[in-house]
This record gives sequence, C-alpha cells and structure tokens, in this order.
Amino acid sequence: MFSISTRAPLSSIPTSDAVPTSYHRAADERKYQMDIDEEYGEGSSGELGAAGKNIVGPGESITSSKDYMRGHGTYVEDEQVVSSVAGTIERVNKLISVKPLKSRYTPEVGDLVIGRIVEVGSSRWKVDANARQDAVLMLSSVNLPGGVQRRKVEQDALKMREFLAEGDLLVAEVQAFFGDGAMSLHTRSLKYGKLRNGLLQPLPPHLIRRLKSHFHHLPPPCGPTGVDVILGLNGWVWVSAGTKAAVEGDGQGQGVGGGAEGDGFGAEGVYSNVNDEITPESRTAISTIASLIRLFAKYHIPLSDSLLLEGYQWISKRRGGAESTMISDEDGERLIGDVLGVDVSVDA
Amino acid sequence: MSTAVSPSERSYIITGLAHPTHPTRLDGRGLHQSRPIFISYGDAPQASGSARVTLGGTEVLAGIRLEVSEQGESSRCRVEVDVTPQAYPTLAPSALTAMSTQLSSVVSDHFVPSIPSLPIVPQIKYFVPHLHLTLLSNSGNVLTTLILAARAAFHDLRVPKTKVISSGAADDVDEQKDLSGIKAAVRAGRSGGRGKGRGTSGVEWELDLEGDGTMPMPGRETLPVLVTLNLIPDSTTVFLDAGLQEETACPDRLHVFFDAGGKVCGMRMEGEAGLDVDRIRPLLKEAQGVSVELFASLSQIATS
Repeated sequence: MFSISTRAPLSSIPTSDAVPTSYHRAADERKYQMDIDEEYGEGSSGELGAAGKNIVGPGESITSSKDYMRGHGTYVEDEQVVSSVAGTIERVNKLISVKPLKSRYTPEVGDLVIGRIVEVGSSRWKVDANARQDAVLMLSSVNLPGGVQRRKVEQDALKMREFLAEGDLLVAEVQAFFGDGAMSLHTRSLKYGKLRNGLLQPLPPHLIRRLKSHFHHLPPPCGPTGVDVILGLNGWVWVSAGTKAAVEGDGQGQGVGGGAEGDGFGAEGVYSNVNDEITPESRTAISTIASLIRLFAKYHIPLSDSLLLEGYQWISKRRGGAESTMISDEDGERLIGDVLGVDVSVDA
Repeated sequence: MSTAVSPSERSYIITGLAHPTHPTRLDGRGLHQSRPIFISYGDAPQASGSARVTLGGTEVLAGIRLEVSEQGESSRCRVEVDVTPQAYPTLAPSALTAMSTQLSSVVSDHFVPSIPSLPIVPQIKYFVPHLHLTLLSNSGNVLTTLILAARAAFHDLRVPKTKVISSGAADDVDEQKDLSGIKAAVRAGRSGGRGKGRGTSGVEWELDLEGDGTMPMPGRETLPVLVTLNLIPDSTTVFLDAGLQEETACPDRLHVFFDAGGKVCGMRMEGEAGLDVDRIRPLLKEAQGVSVELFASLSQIATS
C-alpha cells in the first residue's frame, strides 16, 4: 500500500562548481564550423544538428558578433555572441538564436493546441494554452450547433457559457496573432471542439513535434474500441476512448475539414459535457497509454503514435493481461531499451 | 498548470473511481495505493532537526529549532506553515496566507498535543520546539505530506542532554568561549533566570557534554500519522492519496490522525457535503487499518 524510501539530503550534495562563473567556454570547433560559408543561405540548423554540436549552455560563446547578429536567447559580450539559455542553436542567414530546451509553448500559425477556458468575455473566450499569454477564441471563430453556414446572432453572444464555460477543455488551431503576441484560435472544423471521454496529460512542449496529423487512433488490441490520442503542440496531450468518427477522421488525414460529418458526430454533441459509457477495459487502456506518455516524457523522448503502439504491445506482452496499469521503474527502463534501443538504466 | 477540471473530466474521474467492480484511476493506481514516498533527513544542517518529504509531486521541507522557554512560558511546540507561491501559482498572496493559517491550525490542533515535552528543569524550564513546515510544491494530498514531514523532522531531532546543578553553585560562565547555537541559548536562558531572580526558579542547569551531547527525542516513534480518506460523491467507496485532478473532482475528504496504538487523536472533515453518521464508524475502521500499514512502513525505514 505504501512504499517509503529514504534519500540523501540535498545539502550533502557538493555545490562547488569547477567552472569559473565569468569564463566563457568557447566551443572552438563549433565556431569554425559556423564560419564555413557554404552553409550560408540554407537557413536551417540541420547541418549543424547533423554534426551533433548545436547544443549550447548558458554563458557559452557561439560565434563572433562581427559576422553574425544576435537573436533570441543570446547576448553580446566581448564581441562574442553568447548563449543566455541552454538549448539548440537556430540560424537564419546571419541571425543566430538559441531555442531553449525548457520553455513555455511558442505558438505558430496552424499549430494544433489543447486549451482550457479561463474566462468568458464579450463575444470571446480567454483560453489557457500553456503559452506566455492567454489565447483568445472569438465567438466568430467557432462552429455553433446548427451547421457551419449558420449566422451568429445576438442571442448566441448571451449564451456563450452554454457552449464553452470556464474549465472546459477544447482542441483548436492557431489562426493568427494579435499585436501583443497573443494567439487567436479557431475551431471551425468538426475535428476541433470540446473534449470528452478521457484525461489530460501535460508534458513539456518540446516533446511534441510538428507532424502531418496530431489526431491518432491506436486500434483495438489497445482497449475494446481503441484509444484516441490528440497531441497538442503546446504540450498538452488528450487521451480518450476511441470512437468510430475518429477512425474515419484519421484515415482521411489532416486538412479535410468536417470529414466525419453525419457519422454519430452530430453538431449538438459537439458542446456536450456528458461522457459516453466507458468500460473498465477501455479506462485501463487509457491509463496505460497515459503512463507510457509519462514514461517517454521522463526520458525526454519525443512522442509519436508508432512509439506508443510499440510501447503498448511491449507492456501488454510483459504483463500478460495483468490488471495494474502502473509501470515500474525497472519495466520502464527495459521498455525504453527494447523499443528505442537506448540504454537508460542507472548503473550503465 | 491550473487545477480546474472540466465537467467531462470530472465525470470521467468520478465514474472511474466509483465503478463497482473495476475502479480505475487516472494514473492506474489502485484505490488504496499511495504514490511512492521519499524521505531525506538533515536537509537543513543548521536546524536542530530537519527532513524533506516527497509524495508524488508534493514536497515539504520541515525544520525544527529548539529554544529554551522563558519564565512561565508554555512548553508547547510552535508551528508555522509556509505555503510558497510556487506551490500555488494561481493563488493571490492573501489566499496563500489564509491557507497557511488554516494548515498550521490543523497541525497544532491535532499533531502538536502528541509531542512529549522536553524538560530541562521539570516544571520550570523546557526546550520549546519551533516547527517550520515549507510547502514547496503541490500535487495533491498536502496535509498528509505535511504531517509526514513534521514526523520525520522530529525523528531527526537531536535534543541536547542537560543536567540540573544545585542552586547557587559557582559556575564560570565567562570562561565559555564558544557561545554559538544552543549554548548561547542556554546562557541567555541562564542570565534571564538570574535577572528575574533566583528565588522563583532557584535551579541552575548546564549542558551535559557526554558523548556528542545530544539524544534523540523520546517517544519519536509514537508520533501520530494522518490518514486522508477521499470520499467519492454519490458513492460509498473511498480512496487514498488523491492527485491534484482527483482532489478537484472529489472535494470531500476526511482527515483522521492516529497514534501508534491505533487510537484516533484528531479528525477533520473537508468539503461541503456532509457525512452520514452511520458511515463514520466504518470509515474510521478503514482508516485505522491504513494507519497500521503506514506505521509498519515507517518503522521499516526507521530500523533500516
């Protein structure tokens, strides 16, 4: 019932730093590599990434400030562009910026995000989407019950809370940015809207990559009706019981708005708060998938649907139909080793 | 992340928990399964006793400082709970203060009375423990973690050995060069005693420096533990160690303090829904069973 163990106190860990604080460790090789002009105009950090040397820590000098301009995450000192964060170097022509490993979500137009309503305002909702500022969802950017072509009337503005109230979760797409950098969302597709029948699993945003589709359906060996996974680019992942509509929607891929129309996916259901009946087997599968997502996040492995499927197969083979959905630390290490071929065990 | 849950999330959590045959939880634990607990002792090296307890993502740092009681002062332990803003990023400072007041009142009402007094000169002078609990992060089940941390800090506490010397005995206080820490307190206590007149106390005391001069607190194994039973709305089942989302979905809780003998030494109800009188006895029985398990796990740590 209880597992209690002792740890060494924090204060016994030596805090002395071997590296003097004011000294910039110049990464010489990297500097020369940057100066090669063949890469000029490529506008990507891919070549640097291939060399495996595009990671810098704070205070590490990247290149000379005479030849390059400093971007986000850098500053200039002693004619050197110095990184101010730990992250990966990104280069666009002569502009050097460092993308931090750990940060809030930085939105881009077209991104799929999962958000939570925090405020209902005049003809707009404020949405928390794990970004630096709350996002805005305009009443004019949602589909209301009664069809896509329906006109918005004043009554709709009065009963906005009936559609989406504070605390509700929704999946949406980034439509545009306001002048202050806040993002504007839209849900003008039947793929988007309120979320039901599942649980939210927040992750660090850098673990979600931009993919062709962010709606995934893991088919039935994984729970009786399968499990649906929505990977929000803001790091929030929605794991829910699989539906038929999602299967078809997934098959048609991204970009086909309203592909699942008229298939038990009625417009009235879009704003429903009531969950479907979910069997315990289905719940167990959902919890297992959520545990797998947490496990991959623990070892900083970017998520993908094939990874989740392989992980699920591994864990169900290992368990042989046992009930518990917890993944022990040893099992987790072995799973990562078997599925990804990466050894993460502590004593290695 | 905000702790709000949408109506569908809430119903998903509650129906999962309340399922009659196969209850499921968000992270796949059993209803009576706690998240792993990690305890480290001595995290504040300058305190008389300290500990840090991590339960899931909830982390509490506890520290105890011993002071010598003034004349006529109560020997009861003082409790301060510090709720840090980083544990509740969305709360206003006034709400944090209210919460720390509420938590410290729970600790001092139900935990402190079980702490044995630490007499120097019985009836006259005592060591008064000042317990400071810092809530560093919150992912549910805060109160249990606070009590575990307080208990662990008392387990780590080293009480200076003292001996009573007869009144009026000549002692060369001035020769004591090292006046840091507890010795300074002792000396301050002495001079205070003198200043107010030896007639009232009439007894002098000094530190017994035999060995390392300290001893563990007597009766530290029998300090109470807290069992929190989370009640599921419209269901008779209960579960342990709720996570943040589960706490939001099931706001009603029963906190019961048990001592080592399995006796109830404090009880609090949290939440708006009431509790039927008939349910209290079975719930207490259930909580008692849990407390026995918890004591067994804790004593394994103490002996290993």
